[in-house]
Amino acid sequence: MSLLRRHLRPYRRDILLGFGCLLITNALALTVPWLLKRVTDALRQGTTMRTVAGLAGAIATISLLLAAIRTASRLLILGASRRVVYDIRNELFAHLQSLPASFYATRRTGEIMSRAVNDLQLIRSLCGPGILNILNIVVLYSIGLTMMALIDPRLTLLAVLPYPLMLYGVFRVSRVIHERSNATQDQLAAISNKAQENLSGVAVVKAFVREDEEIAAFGELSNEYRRLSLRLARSRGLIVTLMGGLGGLSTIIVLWLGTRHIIDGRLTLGGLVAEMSYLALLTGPTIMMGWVLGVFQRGLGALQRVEAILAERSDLPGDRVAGDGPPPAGAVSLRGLTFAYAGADRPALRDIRLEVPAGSVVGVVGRVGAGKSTLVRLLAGIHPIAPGMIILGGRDLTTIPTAQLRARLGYVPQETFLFSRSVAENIALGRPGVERADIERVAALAQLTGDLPDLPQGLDSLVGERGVTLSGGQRQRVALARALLMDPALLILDDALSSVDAETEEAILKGLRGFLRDRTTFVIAHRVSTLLDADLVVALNDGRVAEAGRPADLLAAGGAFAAMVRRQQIERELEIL
Amino acid sequence: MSPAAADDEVLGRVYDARLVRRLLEYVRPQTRLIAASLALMFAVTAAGLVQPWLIKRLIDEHIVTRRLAGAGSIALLYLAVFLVEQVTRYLQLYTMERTGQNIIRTLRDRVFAHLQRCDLAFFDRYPVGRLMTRVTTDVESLADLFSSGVVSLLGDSLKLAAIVVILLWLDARLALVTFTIVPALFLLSVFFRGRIRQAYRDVRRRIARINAYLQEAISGMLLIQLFRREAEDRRLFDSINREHRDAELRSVVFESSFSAIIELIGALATAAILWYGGGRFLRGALTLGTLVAFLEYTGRFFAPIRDLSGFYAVLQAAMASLERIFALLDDRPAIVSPAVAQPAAAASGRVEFDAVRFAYAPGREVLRDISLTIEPGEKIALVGATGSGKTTLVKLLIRLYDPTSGTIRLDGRELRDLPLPWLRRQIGIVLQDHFLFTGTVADNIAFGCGPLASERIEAAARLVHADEFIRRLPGGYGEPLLEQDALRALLRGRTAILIAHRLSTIAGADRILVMHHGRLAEQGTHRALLARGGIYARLCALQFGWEEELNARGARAAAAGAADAGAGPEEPLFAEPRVATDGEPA
Repeated sequence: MSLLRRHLRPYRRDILLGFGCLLITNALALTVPWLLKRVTDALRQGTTMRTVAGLAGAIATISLLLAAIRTASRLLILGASRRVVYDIRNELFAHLQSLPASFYATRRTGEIMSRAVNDLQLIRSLCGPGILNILNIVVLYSIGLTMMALIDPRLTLLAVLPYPLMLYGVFRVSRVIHERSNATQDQLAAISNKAQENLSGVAVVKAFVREDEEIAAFGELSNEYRRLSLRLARSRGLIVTLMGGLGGLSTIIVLWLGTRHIIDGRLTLGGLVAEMSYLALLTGPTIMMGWVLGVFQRGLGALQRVEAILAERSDLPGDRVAGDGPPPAGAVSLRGLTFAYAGADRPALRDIRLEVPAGSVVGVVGRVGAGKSTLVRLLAGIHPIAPGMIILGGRDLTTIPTAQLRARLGYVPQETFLFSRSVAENIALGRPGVERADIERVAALAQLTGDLPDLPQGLDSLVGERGVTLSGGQRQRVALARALLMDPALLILDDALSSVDAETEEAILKGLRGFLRDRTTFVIAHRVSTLLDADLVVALNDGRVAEAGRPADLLAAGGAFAAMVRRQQIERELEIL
Repeated sequence: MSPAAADDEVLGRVYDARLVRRLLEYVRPQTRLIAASLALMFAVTAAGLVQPWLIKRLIDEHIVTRRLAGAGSIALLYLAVFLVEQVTRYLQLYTMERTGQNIIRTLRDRVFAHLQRCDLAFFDRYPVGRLMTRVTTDVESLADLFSSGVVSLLGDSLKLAAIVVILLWLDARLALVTFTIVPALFLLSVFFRGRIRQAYRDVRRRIARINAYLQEAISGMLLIQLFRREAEDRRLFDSINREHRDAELRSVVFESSFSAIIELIGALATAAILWYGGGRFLRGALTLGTLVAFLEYTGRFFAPIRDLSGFYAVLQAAMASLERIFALLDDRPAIVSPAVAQPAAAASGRVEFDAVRFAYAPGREVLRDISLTIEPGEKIALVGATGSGKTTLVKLLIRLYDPTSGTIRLDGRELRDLPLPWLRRQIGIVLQDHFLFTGTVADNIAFGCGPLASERIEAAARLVHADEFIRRLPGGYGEPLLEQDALRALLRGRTAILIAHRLSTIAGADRILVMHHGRLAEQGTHRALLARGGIYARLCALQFGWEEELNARGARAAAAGAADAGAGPEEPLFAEPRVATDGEPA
């Protein structure tokens, strides 16, 4: 709630003004039945045309005012709700940016998106139509019922008898509708999944002659969806009947009692007409109220979920220290680096000790799960570590503010991720607004220049679904250029050229030689032969250092690294055949 | 343009007789429901329109004359009519919904069934996402046509016509004055409907953009953070978020004013009726009851006019969807089962490839002049590097594609002359780029053989040493599985072509075929090929090392569980895909 209060505050003038308008609107709306009463009674008593025309004119004038002020009240209040949601969404997004990898590791993307989209829609309904309708009903009931009671108190009392029932009924049924509508949507999703699975695996379906079974399975889902849709339609029908039925019941009560009261002389015909129009004014908001109660319930739930995310904090030590200063220099010292992922029962890295002088190229090799990626991820400050284990340029990594740590960090992750923007924008990810020439320079270093003429708009070609489809190798080279543009003191290539063909890879590494001279580079390489020029090769096994040393020495020793190089030679031969 | 390529956004003609005629084919089985719905609709309309008339009688015959006798029966009649209206409305809404759901269910099932008959080349051409739209969104948009479309159109028109007639009958001159609001009401409704629809479409488009942006930002959050892109990214998000907010604010303008303006028209109509009708009453030309009835009937004008003004859009969307659906249903697959009787006996399994060539796309041959013969019951292992054509060969054998040139025969008969389901049931295959359904182990083993007793499945699994592995999985045989070993057990005694994963499989084969760049480069036994020292020998040298690694990985995975769960996927240094995976277009 405090979140909502905080975000409503900037718009309190709009909201208060909206409330004011709403009050006037309802007051005006409630005079119309009164005028109807006067016209009817006047006609009954045989009045002049002048009076009738005057009253009709008054109704028209009031209605005109009413329309204008009602529009204003809605604009103000509904408008404020849209602005509030916009503000909260921005705040949520900024907060998401501050959350670490551990947050994202435990939540699915869809779940987070659901907070930022669906839940905010619910909050929007809560503070737009929700507030609007509650206010409406309070004003309408307090003034409307008073007016009705002034005309005929007994009639009024009996007329509103069905209202609590209507309110409760709509509230209950709209909850059922909400549940059933979710179930129906889920079933539609199940149909989609089935179709997706089937269409993606169409070759297997055909190969194993499963068409008939698939059609039958789909038919079952499809029929279940039909059943659920009809079930939903039944409760929707019920709510329509409930609203119409109970509202109509009131009308019948008024009509019957009114007739008797008129005949008894306790009520005029005009009074009856007025009572009926008042009822008509009250019915709509009462029905809405049943719905609004549900909106409140769901909106408050959504609010809690959003607040829970906003309460999350980063677990990285670097996010807890502040301060400006230069990024760390390139020397890397690992002092008994041990690390375990949250929830894992075995550490991913154990007691890694390594001294890397600034400007070195370090090759990291090892099997799947040996800890290669973990090692470089820790260097980039992606996961929290204990103090004293990683020293960068003489400074303990845990004391360096994250932003400082990454100011001159070039990181090419194993899985290339490109944004649906232009190639140039993807390269300039960490340096928005950089000179075009700089982008072109790193594109050349990443051997991308030769590919550009094949792209529709060169560097400005859009990447992704709506743009060009880049090959795996091209994507990796864009990611490389992106890292190079950071002017990195520490460059990390995590299997960064696995999809690049051998020749291009060689060209890239050759071209990078000068660039890398005064930078520290960690390379996890697909083709081990490319590590033969490294200053240092570290072979990891099960989280520990198995062997480490200059490549030539390791080759001579005939250990794991030597075996890897040998096998790769055979692969090459095959390629040439 | 081909069906799936048609742009999903384009709205076609609003009414197309040809499409409607075809749709009737689906509507016809629902004739009885539709008839019931129409009958109910008459009842609803009549019951609704009798009510103001009863009020008029109550006023004129009892209230004005202060005569209670008989008023009770009018009130009771009103109550009865009212109850009838409520009940019939409920039934009518439900019947209509049911009609629509029945029709679109049939249509949905038929689209899906049609897709099952489409050949693989079709799926190469059309992205799955687009086909999904046919099965779900397009079919759904037809639901609106039935639930809020056709029958309501009739109902609304009927209601309007009835009100017009009743008002003219009650008092023709006052009726004409009242009707002056209709054009305004209709035009304003159409105008606002159009604007609101446009505004909502804008809002949806922009929320979709927020969705897409968030999806990407969250997936790429680590990169955003590593490259310190947060501020710039916030700025971009803000602009998208702001665009959405502005679209929302525009929709609020129409939303806020629409109902207010419609109410205003209603109030103006009331004022006009009071003014003109009041004058006529004073001159004795009409009764008070008639005047009140006029006010009541005028109130009932609004809903149908509002609904009618929205019908156009529903019809437009439905026609566009129908056009796409029917275009899809009209696409005739190139590979169909010939109309021949199913051979009485199972195939003995002699397979011949005769100068077979194949290209997925013109000019890019994947198979070049393949000729080979496989004897009945023979077990063949297919070996070769990525893209060498192994998978394609198998795909042609089970007629997922037809060769560009050359012929393939099974037991001496050309594949094109054999019933398709029969053909595919005759040959046991294990596809490499295997897409396994998210079923359970038992499902996957039984795949292609119809239902099997679970003991037989377990026996089959044991045969391929998968048993122990499967039992170790948390859910035992109920565990969803992405391993296909167990399938092989079912290939015994059949002509089998294995795209080999493991050396053990290759060694067990009668003959090994080595594919290289779309040609059959080497063939023979494991021993003979090893001795030859060609491609196969090199592949083996690699395989051997790779297998060692694979075993180590399996053992570690079993022991360590998810120790590395947070580390993100890691590829093996010597990626097995080089040898083991086939990356051909599926």
